[in-house]
Amino acid sequence: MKAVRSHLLLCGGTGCRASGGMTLKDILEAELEKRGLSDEMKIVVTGCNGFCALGPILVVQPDDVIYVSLKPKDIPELVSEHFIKGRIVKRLLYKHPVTKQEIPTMQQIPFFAQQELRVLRNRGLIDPEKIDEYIGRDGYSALAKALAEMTPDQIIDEVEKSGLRGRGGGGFLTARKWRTTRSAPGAVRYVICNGDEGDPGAFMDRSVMEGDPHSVIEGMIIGAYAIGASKGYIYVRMEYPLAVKNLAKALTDARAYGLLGDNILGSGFSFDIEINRGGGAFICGESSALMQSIMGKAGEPRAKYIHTSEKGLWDMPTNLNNVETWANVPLIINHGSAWFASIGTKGSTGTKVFSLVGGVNNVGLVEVPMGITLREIIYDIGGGIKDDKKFKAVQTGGPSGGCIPAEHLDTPVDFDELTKLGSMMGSGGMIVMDEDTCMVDVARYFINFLVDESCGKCTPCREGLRHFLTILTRITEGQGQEGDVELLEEIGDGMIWGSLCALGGSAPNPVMSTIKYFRDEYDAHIRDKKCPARVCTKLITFSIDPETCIACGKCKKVCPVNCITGAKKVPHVIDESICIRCRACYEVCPTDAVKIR
Amino acid sequence: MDDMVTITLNGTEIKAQKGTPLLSIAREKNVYIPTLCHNDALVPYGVCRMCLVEIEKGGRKRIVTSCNYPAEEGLAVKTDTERVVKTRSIVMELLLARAPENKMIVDLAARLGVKGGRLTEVNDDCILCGMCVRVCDEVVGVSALGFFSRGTSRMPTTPFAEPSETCIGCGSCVYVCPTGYIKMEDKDGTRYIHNWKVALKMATCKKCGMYIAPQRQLDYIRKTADLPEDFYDLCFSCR
Ligand SMILES: Cc1cc2nc3c(=O)[nH]c(=O)nc-3n(C[C@H](O)[C@H](O)[C@H](O)COP(=O)(O)O)c2cc1C
Ligand code: SF4
Ligand code: FES
Repeated sequence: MKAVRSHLLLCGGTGCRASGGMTLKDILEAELEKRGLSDEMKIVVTGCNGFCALGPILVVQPDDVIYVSLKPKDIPELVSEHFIKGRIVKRLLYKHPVTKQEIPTMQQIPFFAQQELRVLRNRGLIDPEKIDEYIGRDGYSALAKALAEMTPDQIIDEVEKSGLRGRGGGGFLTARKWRTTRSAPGAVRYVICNGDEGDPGAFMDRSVMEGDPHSVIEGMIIGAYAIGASKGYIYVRMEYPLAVKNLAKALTDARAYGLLGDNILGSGFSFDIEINRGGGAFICGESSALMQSIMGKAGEPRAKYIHTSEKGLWDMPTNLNNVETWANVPLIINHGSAWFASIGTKGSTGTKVFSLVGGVNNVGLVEVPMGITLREIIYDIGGGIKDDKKFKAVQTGGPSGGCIPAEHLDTPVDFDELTKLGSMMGSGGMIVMDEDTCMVDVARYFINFLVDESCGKCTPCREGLRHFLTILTRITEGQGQEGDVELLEEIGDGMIWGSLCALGGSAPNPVMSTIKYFRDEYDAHIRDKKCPARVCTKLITFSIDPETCIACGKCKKVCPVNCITGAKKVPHVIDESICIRCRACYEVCPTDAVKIR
Repeated sequence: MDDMVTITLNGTEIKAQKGTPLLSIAREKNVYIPTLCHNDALVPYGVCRMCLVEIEKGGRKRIVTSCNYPAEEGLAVKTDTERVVKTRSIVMELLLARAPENKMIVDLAARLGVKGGRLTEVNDDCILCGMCVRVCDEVVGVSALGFFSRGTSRMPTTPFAEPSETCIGCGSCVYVCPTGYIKMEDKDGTRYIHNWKVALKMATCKKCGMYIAPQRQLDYIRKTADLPEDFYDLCFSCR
């Protein structure tokens, strides 16, 4: 048998699988076989690389060359050119969105260059199904160290000094929660990993659970030892089958290696973890609702002024942390609190993983040091706004986060700064919006999501969201009334102060922040019955400029309601009375003759 | 006793049993706090958010629901700060828009000086206080009711909104419902609870022939309580 001379790291994240990654694997295997390369070139299916929009992705090691957007038909050329002749296939490389220059290695791609991979330390490097590959990259060494050399209190002290704050949204100090649970009276203690990730568009937790499940498990075992917990649960949403599969395999392997179960690594400490598949509702991510759900009850928050860290699952002390929080723990134990706190801001240490989506050139998963500015994330890593449009706002924190305008782009991103701006860190969703976005419509969009996701238990959240939606809808339809904005603010205020849980408490953010920063857009809708961004269909009209129309007929062809008339060499005309404002003509016109007003 | 704590209520110092809900303490002192989901027979639920009060602890102010916030040493409780009144008023206004024709809601709004008219009316007399669901579970022990759906479509109902097979027709839900949303009717020897689509045959008194209670309820009591046999045969006056 020949020695393996090259590893082909094929991304097996959900994004790349969706774009055909696994078909590619079969074709690549067959092609290698055909060329007699199977022994020297090894395919490794890795976890998500974060550059999902350009999938499927293949990284060739040790050359460090990254190929993107691969198609089955590219494989023979790739094998013969690169693997046999050693020539990089330029046309399959990533191209810089502005300079159009091909970039061969990962580290040279701006999207990757500015990232600081800690939580995602093994991203694209290991096969998540192989515990040995995790161990090969320092995996479980933190657990061994914790069990052999540290007392539970020393571990909590170390985590405290690191300044680690929960990555699930609230930014609670992790060590403080651990200590409370450790000292609360109870016959048993539990730890839980929150992998609900109900925030649509967010996929950082999924990516970690799928791509590096052992990092979460190792963190949980260390935490359980520090807290004195004997049982753990990983709560994963139903829609994440690959995460469940990889976690289940990882748990089995960890048990086989003596890293879970009775008397872990001969330390006398026993602990095991069970996977719990959540119903997938957004509200199930809230701590008390999540615990209700694990106990087999309806996943609704409970009004109680005693913390779950003292009385959680079956009224026993229970510590809940987010996926990313857990994955940070082994790093703190291995490298120390000082190393951990060496990056970030004073109040928020370490890194944060964001899912950067929307109108930027590079969408995907990014891990950056806390304190990096929004501008750096959007313009350097994100490569700026698509199609050379103007930036308008970035929405952070998931559906109940706020929208931050251009004047605050230089704000350092951390828990406290985002809250000060009327938004929040949330789980790390980041949606970039360009000039063609109507901020009233954006607020309505998020409220429309939240109306269905509120559990409906308490008055302010349930009824407040209902009226939010009614009022925002009438504003976007040109039926807004004088005083509507003030009414929205009053309702929002009542929700913030009066709601039972943080869903209702944060749900006003999309409304309040857009009123704060884009009040003029509300006024334009209400007073002038105009949508400045030309989005709200009831407030815009479509027409064709006869001067620029070249009578090509393209618009006429795409119009779903046949409201465009015209003939060869005759400028086309839209019948406003029939037009449904679907924008199809606008998108298709080669000379931009279709005008929206 | 060392499980007594000292708190202040609107500035007055008082002693209370540690852990007592602030609402009970206030009521004992005749301090009015409006409530819509509280019932002394039930575990505090904390969802109507009418009973909000402001508490101060260690220099930190918070708005909490008094029905379930436990008394603890040194707590300063205020029932009518600007923040409390403002928040409670908007909660009231939201409920008034939900049940604009319900007398109890209209009266309470008037008492709190809250006027309607700004919000689109919903016209649903159920204010989702959950008392029916809770009484059936916590007090009666039958658990015939639950909630269907989430958000604005949430409503109390029987499983799958089918006619209840477990409801014993005791009417507890009807008695606790603060708005009269649950409709019960005894007609021609049958008890109807319309909301749960149940129609239960009534048992008659062996002596006077009056209707006593639904047969299913008597069967349920027979199963769960140890009472003399004639309890099940005679009406209240003939017993
Ligand atoms: C409506 C709502 C949804 C939430 N969803 C999540 C979630 O999907 N994942 C998560 O980790 N935390 C979520 N949280 C936060 C959790 O309640 C809890 O604070 C967190 O899991 C604690 O972990 P941490 O301290 O590591 O952040 C949610 C909170 C609310 C109010
Ligand atoms: S705030 Fe919303 S989600 Fe939370 S308990 Fe109240 S209704 Fe349910
Ligand atoms: S009485 Fe306290 S919330 Fe309803």
